[in-house]
Amino acid sequence: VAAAVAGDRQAFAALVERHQARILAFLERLTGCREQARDLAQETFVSAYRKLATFQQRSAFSTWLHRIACNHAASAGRRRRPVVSLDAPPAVGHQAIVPVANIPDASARLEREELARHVAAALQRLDGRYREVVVLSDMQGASYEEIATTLDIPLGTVRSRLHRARLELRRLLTPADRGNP
Amino acid sequence: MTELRFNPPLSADDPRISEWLDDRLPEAEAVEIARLVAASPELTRMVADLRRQKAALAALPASPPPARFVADVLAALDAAGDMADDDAEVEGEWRRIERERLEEEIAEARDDAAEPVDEPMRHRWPWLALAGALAAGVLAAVVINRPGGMADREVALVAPQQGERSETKRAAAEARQGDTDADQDTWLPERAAAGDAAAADRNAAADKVTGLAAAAPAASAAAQAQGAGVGGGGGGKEPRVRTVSYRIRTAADRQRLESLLAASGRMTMDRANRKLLEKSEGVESLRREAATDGVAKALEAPEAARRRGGPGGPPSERIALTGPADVMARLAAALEAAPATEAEAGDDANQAKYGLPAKPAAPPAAEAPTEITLVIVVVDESGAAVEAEEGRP
Repeated sequence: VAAAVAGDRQAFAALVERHQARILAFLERLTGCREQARDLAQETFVSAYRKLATFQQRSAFSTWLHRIACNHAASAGRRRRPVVSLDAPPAVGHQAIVPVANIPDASARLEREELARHVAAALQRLDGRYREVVVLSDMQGASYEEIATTLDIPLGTVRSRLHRARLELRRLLTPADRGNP
Repeated sequence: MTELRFNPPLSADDPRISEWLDDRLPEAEAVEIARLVAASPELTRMVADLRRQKAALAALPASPPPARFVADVLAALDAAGDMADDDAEVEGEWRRIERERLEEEIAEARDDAAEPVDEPMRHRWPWLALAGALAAGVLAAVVINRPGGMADREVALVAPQQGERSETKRAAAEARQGDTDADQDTWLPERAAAGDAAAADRNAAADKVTGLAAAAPAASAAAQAQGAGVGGGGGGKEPRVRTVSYRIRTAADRQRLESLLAASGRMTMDRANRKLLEKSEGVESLRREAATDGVAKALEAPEAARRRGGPGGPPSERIALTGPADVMARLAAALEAAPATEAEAGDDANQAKYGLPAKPAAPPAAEAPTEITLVIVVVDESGAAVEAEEGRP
């Protein structure tokens, strides 16, 4: 990082190489669109390069990058209409969603894939604020503290928002006839 | 800070359940949560679902990075050259949206001014508070009472009258004195509540709306806050007090308010007040976090609030937040702009205006409608001590 801050382009390229997979995955999960995620990831790294001098290492570089990515994703969400990607999971009607608890043990692999599709679809239906915390926590493996830093919200808000997000995701994965607890 | 914990039965909304799933709780607390979950078939089923859900999320595959991604980034750096900073553009866009929304809110508040002002504050069971430090006061009040929709909402944004300032100062001084007199872990909410109730009454009586004119555009307001806040008195510039009442009847209402508060906190950190926070370094930042953290906890504990309310009527919750003038303005505007539980025409219009996708329908209330009046007192930082206390029955 220090070398990159000093203007070493190759050092920055190494940072991109190291973090590209996580940032791309993060943005793809946030946006639900691989192409948009790639564009946003590129914008993220370009912004990061320009702002390297302001990185004060109070947080991990990865956390800092995630924060920039979050800002770009949020801004993109306000600028653009939703983009339907050909590689996005197919839209799933609410009634057709299979509850996670109803997945039988048989044909486990196929059903795991089915579940993954449903979860991915439900994730895109979550409110953006909820999606951020769920993706950061359950998909990116960020700690509550890292989420708080990334999203610039208090730790208590992370706690409550994450739990509500999970409950909402569960609701989305639960057919109407089963009802909510 | 005293926390209300281990108040069975455990609510499904209790975020400690997620913390428990994430192995974040101390052992004793984890054992207690496990016991409470095991005692409830519904919670047991919910936790099982959440575990599966979490595992499914973790297992979702991610696309591999494109082969030329690094090269593309470097090429983009070259191509970008001396272009304006992207983040500055983003921030500029945010400011524009916020400014437009603020202007709309001011106009709407003026329209609403003809309506009588309802003061729904109840402070029989205040349980959570921050006693704000108040040096002197220009008073602006926003009373929002929207149990069901726009038709029921009454808003008053009132400019302080000259004669009111001294009363506000007195109320502030009383609240501050309350803090001083109290034990470090004790807040005297009734005293501050009385001050705010009186302030709200004065606002209602004044019946003049200048709205968020006090909520100046970010730059000037921030500058004012800077002078009034960090400067400890601000060289004659008076800090502001704003009282916001917000009635919560459903889980969706509570969720909305929580998100708005969180958003206002983010604005605080992200924009004009960053320097303010940096100057005050740490302590103020922690206070702010404590305050907002308290809000989150308050919102998380409707069951506890209802219990405190007892059979005699619904409880009220009192929350004090500190924040510079522009943040207060944004918070007030955001509260007004909050979409109702049910879709509102104006909301859809705003979504379209800002190029946003239509908002999904708000989730249905997860509990029977309750009537919790939540009073938020937002005060300027004036350098005096602020203590946070989470609920005491």
